[in-house]
Amino acid sequence: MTKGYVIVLKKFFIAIAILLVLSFIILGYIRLIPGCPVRLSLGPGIPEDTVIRLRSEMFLDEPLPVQWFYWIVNMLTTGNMGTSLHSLRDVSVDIAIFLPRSLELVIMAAIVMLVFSVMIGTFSALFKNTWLDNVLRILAYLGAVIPSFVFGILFLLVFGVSLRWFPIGGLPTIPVEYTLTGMPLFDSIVAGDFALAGNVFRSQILPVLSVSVGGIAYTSRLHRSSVIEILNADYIAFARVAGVSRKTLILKHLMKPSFIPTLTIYGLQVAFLLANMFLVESIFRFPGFAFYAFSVIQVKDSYGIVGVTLVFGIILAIVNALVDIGVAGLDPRIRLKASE
Amino acid sequence: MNHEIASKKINARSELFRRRCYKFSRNPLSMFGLVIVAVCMLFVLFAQYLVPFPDDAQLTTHMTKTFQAPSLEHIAGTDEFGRDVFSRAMIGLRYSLLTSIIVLGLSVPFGVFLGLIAGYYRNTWIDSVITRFTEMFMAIPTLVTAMVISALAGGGWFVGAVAIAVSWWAWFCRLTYTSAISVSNELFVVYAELSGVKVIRVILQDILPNISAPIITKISLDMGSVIIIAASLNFIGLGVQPPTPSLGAMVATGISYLPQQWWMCTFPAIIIMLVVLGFNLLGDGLGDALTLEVK
Amino acid sequence: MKNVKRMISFVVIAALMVVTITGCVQQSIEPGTGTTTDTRNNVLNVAVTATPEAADAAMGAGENCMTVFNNVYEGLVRNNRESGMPEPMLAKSWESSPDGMTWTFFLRDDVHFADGSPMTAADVKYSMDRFLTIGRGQSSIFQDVVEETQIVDEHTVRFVLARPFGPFITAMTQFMVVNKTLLEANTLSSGPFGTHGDFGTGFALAHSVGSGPYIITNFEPNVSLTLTKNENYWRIPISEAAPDVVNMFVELEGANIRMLSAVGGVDIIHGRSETITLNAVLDNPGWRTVTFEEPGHNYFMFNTRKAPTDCVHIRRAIAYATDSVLMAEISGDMPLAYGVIPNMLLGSATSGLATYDFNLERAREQVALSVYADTLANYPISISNIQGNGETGRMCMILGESLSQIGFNVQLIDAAWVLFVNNQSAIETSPNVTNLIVTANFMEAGSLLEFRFASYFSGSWNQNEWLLSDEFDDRIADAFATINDEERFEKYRAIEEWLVNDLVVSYSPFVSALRPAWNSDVFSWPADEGRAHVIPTHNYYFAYFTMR
Repeated sequence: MTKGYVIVLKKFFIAIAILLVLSFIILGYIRLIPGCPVRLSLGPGIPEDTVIRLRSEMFLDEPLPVQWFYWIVNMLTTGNMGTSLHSLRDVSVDIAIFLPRSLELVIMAAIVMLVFSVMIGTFSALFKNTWLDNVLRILAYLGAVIPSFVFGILFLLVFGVSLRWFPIGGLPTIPVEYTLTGMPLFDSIVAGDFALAGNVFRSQILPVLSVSVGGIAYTSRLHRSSVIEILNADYIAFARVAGVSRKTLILKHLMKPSFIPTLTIYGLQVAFLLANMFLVESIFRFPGFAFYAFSVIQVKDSYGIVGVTLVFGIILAIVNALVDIGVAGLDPRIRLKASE
Repeated sequence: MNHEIASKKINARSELFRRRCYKFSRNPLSMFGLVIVAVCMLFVLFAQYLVPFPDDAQLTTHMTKTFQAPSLEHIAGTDEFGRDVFSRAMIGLRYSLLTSIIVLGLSVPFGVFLGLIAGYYRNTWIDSVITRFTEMFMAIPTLVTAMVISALAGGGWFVGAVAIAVSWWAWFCRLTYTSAISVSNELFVVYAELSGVKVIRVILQDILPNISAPIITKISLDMGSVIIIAASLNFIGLGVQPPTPSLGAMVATGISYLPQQWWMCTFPAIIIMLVVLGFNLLGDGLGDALTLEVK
Repeated sequence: MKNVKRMISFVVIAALMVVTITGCVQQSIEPGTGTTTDTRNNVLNVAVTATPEAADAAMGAGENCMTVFNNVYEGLVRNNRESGMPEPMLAKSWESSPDGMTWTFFLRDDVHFADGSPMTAADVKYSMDRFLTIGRGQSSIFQDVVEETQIVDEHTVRFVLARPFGPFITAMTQFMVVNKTLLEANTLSSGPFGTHGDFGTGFALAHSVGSGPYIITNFEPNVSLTLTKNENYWRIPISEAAPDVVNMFVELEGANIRMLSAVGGVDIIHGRSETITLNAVLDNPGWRTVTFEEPGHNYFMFNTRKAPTDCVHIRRAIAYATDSVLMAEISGDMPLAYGVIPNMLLGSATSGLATYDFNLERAREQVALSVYADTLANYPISISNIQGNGETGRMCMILGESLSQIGFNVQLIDAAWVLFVNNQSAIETSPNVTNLIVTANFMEAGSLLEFRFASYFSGSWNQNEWLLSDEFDDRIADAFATINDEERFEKYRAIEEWLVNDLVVSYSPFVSALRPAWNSDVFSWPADEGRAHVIPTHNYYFAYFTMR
């Protein structure tokens, strides 16, 4: 049997190769879009010299393989991912600023989604066909069919304008000296500035809630049906007859297997969240990664788009790997088969 | 003799179909979904004869009647050009639904098929190639794909729909893949394999029916997401161009006028939700009915 | 069942806790904390349509940049509040040689930058060299004009021109002096500018390097920007009542603007809101609006190289089909335009121009005269605007409706900014008609004429005409080379007459204006008390604001 770390290393190198291919495809892709991004970003009346200089600075005048090669060499030697036409900074700097903000939001939303969807799904299933179940199911339908930005607007109107509990979008400025991970809440807590942390948290609550409602509704519905399926399974009936306490039954025999389909969908939901949070970020004026992605795509900023795509690629690979590992951990059949 | 067996088979099938129909019709929620979807289809086909102001979907302005709140004349109010929001939303439903149907019609079969193949041949090179390919497509932002496709194929909402489909299939592929992995370990699959059933039949007859529930749910939910995403393609000139209405664009425009002119985005948003709800209920009902097996 | 009940009670308790916590949160909130945690009282929150590209004076041009830069940077001369004419700022006085080829500026000796270093002639030379080398922003005005900058002595600087340039002193209001000492200390040795390295562009991305009454303390491109009072400003002690901190953030969404203004999360709203949004904001107690006429027009620009707008009669027909009165009214009672250059600019024509009052009969007559009279339906006419750019979408729709009434096959394109700019980069992709606002870079008609019609500015969003006319280029160059003001202005007028009466390449329904809304309970704005600056962006001079 191959050792675990060899498999991990192999997977890692495959992932690197995939990312390199991806970056090449994207750079080529962007060249298919008409219009010179440099001229576009400079505005009217800019001397031709400036355009030519910037183009050669960014290797845009080179053939695609050469440009790609320069980009890789530059990244390996200096760690720079190319200058963004959107922010005029290095793309890696931009990513370090924008990504952690969204990641923190996604992590919080992921936790909220997991806790609530499992809770609601299990309750629904245990109280199948009672009023509680019906209410929860109707709510789940509504939650799933209403788009997240509509929740965003509703939350802003109710909790922002009428009740004034939360600010109307925006994110408090985090002092430079606090910056550790770039995640605003985490950094301000670590820095010990709890007043700031409170403000940051307050501006995060509504976006987190509005992106998670849809996921909760969707996942809890699936969780409900998988719990019901397992409740009807023979081994549960057997365990009941054998006198296993209800607590053990629910926690041990029910939770774990019912979780397999849920986890699959949940993983997809979290991945989808990161890629499709743009509308919610724009409604909450939250300067996150989806906002950055949209901005660089708009100005056809080659290196910005490459950076964004690579980050999405890495995160999707991680989420997918985690889901696969999770499913294998929960489902002994897959584990057995994989080790054959 | 052979003839008898064949007719029995047909009988069994029609019997099953009848029982499925019965089960479906006994569920009020499913019937509600069916009604919504039917009404939608009615409006898709005949909207211009059913709405009070069909001209408002064309190049028409009534600058003296702008931003009127809902009234008997305009049951959903008027917009920034004095046009009837109700008429526009119902006519816009056509383009929005067509976009959704094109996107899902293209992406679901492709994504599900690839996902099934990858899930069935898990831990082989086929699996890795398809999975990596899917991850790559998931990573490339929809807008970038759309920009490239519009550069190659020109503008228009149809190209926009194709562009969304090109990046949408990956999610179905991934969903099918992870669901298929669990199912393909089931005994009945192993048994079918051992008894020499053709691979394609194992995949389509044994695996696919057992993972259809989450796929159908996702399809019905995606009807709404596609309508919303299609509106964002306006940013790159691929959406429906004014004055032609589309639900997503109406919501996007209407949001700017909240909260005072709430009717402009509320009504189209409710239509989108109803459409999604209708397809959801219908999808769930169909899913339930399909689980009935021949006895 | 008991366990389940216990679980339910746990959930109820948890829910109660959440409610209690949010209740506490509610108590600790005070209005005005929408975007910042700054506890100082004198904080002004400003919603803008965009931030500058960088904090660097050498980069960026236009309304959004100038709103910020006027507070941060200063030039040798500045615009007079009432006339817009140049008046001394960092220079005490100036003189020019009779042929207009050398300009000598005598600098003040009491100026120091925000970091305390004094301003000398070396800073001025460095600023001009840097401006021209980087070649961005407004540098195109001086690009082939300034031959050399000479340091005469510590407080005297001389510009030697490459060619006579009449508007030089007016244009100098667009040149800003940066801090040489600070920039050189922060210049990276590797960069695109040879021995100058990166010319300090990396540092100046997020750091202001000027002598103005405010400094940029936080800058996130296209998101937000913070200005903080410059405590050792050289000129006058800034009033205690002026805002200590100005938070500017990008906000284009109408709903957010309405909600923010309702809860006190913003104090000034940019001047590009739609009328209906502006009215909604003004319903809040204390909110007022003020109108700043801009040195620019709302233009319908006709593509002269694409059928059917390549025919002058079709262009006249479109001009006649433009309901200017209605358009001006829905844009907030804007003044109607005369010609293509606003009368606020020096050298604009005030008589002798053809006018095109809304008249569909006249438009039909013009169509009948054109070569497309019988084949009009075969030539779709595309009308494009920038998405979300004030009322321009409505302008296009109204024009489109009139045109379709007289037989045109109208195609509307509501294009996002980048798509719009991209379309404008080539004749084939440029629409037949575009609608947008263009303003002058400096206060002479020539500035706007050149920007709008010169062939070397074609291919960008500010032109859709594709005039590409050598005659125009020669005439505008000739006007710029005229040193005598009156003669030069006469030449501008002749060019405008030619454009409006003969070519009809563009039609302006109304003069454009900024209509910011502001909360008079938070501060008092000199601009709304009869002391408005003739140049709209100069009204955002926060040192003159009085916080309540």
